[in-house]
Amino acid sequence: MMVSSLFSVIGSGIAMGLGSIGSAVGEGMIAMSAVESLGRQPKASAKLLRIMIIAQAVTETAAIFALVISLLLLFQAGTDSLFKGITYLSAGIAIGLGTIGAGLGAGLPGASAMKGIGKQPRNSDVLTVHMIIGQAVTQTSTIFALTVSLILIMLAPTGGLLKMAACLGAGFAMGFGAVGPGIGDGLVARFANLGVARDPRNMGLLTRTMIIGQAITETTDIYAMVVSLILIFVI
Amino acid sequence: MDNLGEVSQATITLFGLSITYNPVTFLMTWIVIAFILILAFSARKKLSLVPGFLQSIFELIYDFLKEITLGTLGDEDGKKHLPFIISLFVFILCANWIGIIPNLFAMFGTFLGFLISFFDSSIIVSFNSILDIKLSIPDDRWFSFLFDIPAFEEPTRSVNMDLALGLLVFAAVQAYGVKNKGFWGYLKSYYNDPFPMKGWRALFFFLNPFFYLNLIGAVANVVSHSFRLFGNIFGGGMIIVIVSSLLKFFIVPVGLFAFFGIFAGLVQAFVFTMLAVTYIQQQQ
Repeated sequence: MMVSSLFSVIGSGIAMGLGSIGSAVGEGMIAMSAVESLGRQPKASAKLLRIMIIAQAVTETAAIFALVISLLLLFQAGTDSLFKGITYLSAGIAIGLGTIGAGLGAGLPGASAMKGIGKQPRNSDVLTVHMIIGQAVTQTSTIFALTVSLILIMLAPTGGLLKMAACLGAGFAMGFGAVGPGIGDGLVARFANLGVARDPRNMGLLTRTMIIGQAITETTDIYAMVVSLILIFVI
Repeated sequence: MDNLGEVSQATITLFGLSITYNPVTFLMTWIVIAFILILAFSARKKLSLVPGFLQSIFELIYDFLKEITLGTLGDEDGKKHLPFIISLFVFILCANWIGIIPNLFAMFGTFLGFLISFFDSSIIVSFNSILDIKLSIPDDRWFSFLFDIPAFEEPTRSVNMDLALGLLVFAAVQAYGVKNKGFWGYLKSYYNDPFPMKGWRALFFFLNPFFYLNLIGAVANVVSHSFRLFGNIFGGGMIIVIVSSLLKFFIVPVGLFAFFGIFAGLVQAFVFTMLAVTYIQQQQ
């Protein structure tokens, strides 16, 4: 039996299992707010349905990243190297944990956009644009996790026991490091979206402040990525 | 299925340096550029007050992006950046959508080889069942190059293309920042710390930890900006390939093409463009 296949199938399961948590909850929150708004404004049903599907599709990105890494790990050709197996496992852990925060976080601005459209269906265009920007920036943490996972998968097998432990540590660092910033960014985007829903004329100001706030929230995520890259390449 | 993560490579030697590049991305980028140019010139040929089909599509894109860009950047700056923003959007949109046409060259080559095999005995057709037809074509036939193109891939599926686009936006944004704020003002924007440096102390900006933190943040923006596009397009393409091969290429999963090809392609092109607009806005 090939050693690396053994670990890559475990990594595949971890990636998809953990990776579906955040996005599912986030999409549920969007649908919940859409249904709530529909009860208040039945006339806006076409608009609500259309924007709900867009928001859910963007939220799904995190789960799609997990699915991609999971499938990549599933179809990896096995080699007889323990090191390669450990890197596959770490890649699964990194993307699996890394999607939880971004999935949850991307759901929050979507939900508040649904709420805003329910109150003021006229502002739906402005709110959709703002919602998509907020969700896209919220996904930064899971994109870093995807980057680290792809680097771990492509890594050439050289090194001893310490290097293996470092790769595993890199997977955990990136995975856990991405949980908090995802949710934090989502919170920023949620309340910025509520502000736009209240008065669309403030959109420029709100977007600028939101992006700066999210950039600073993401600092911890960047620390996690820097540490995991150091663990992969320097140690 | 075994060559899932592989990319095609070609090496050329230029001035004694050997350069490795991806011929598929290279070819597809030029196809996209040619496609956009043909569309744009044919739309420009007969401009009228009552727009035709092509003209109305271009006007739709222009009006939509103009409204958002001018609303975000203000009238004067927005008009300055509008051509860049619209070119970015149209290029990424066409690049994402060109993958909807599945493996056109290989299909054409297979069809051609099948026809020629009736007259040419060097082409061997092995026919096992209706789903399992294989052609073996010698390399010296003129149409054999059609098989070298693995798929009609999106150029944005290659990480090099996305990084190039991300760096393009990064360079444009930084150049605009220097032009707008002046060099010292631009440098000052890299340390938003509680102890602002004034006068001669500003010369020691490199001693400030916040400077490096913001520098890393700026580079991380490029990574997230370009890998967002890459992850979505690459992931969508891979899911289509895997589901199609699980169905033995007998049924083309139209729903997946519609979702990942058309819908996700449009949304990601829009997201990339909008983030470029917001990065420009931060330098104001």
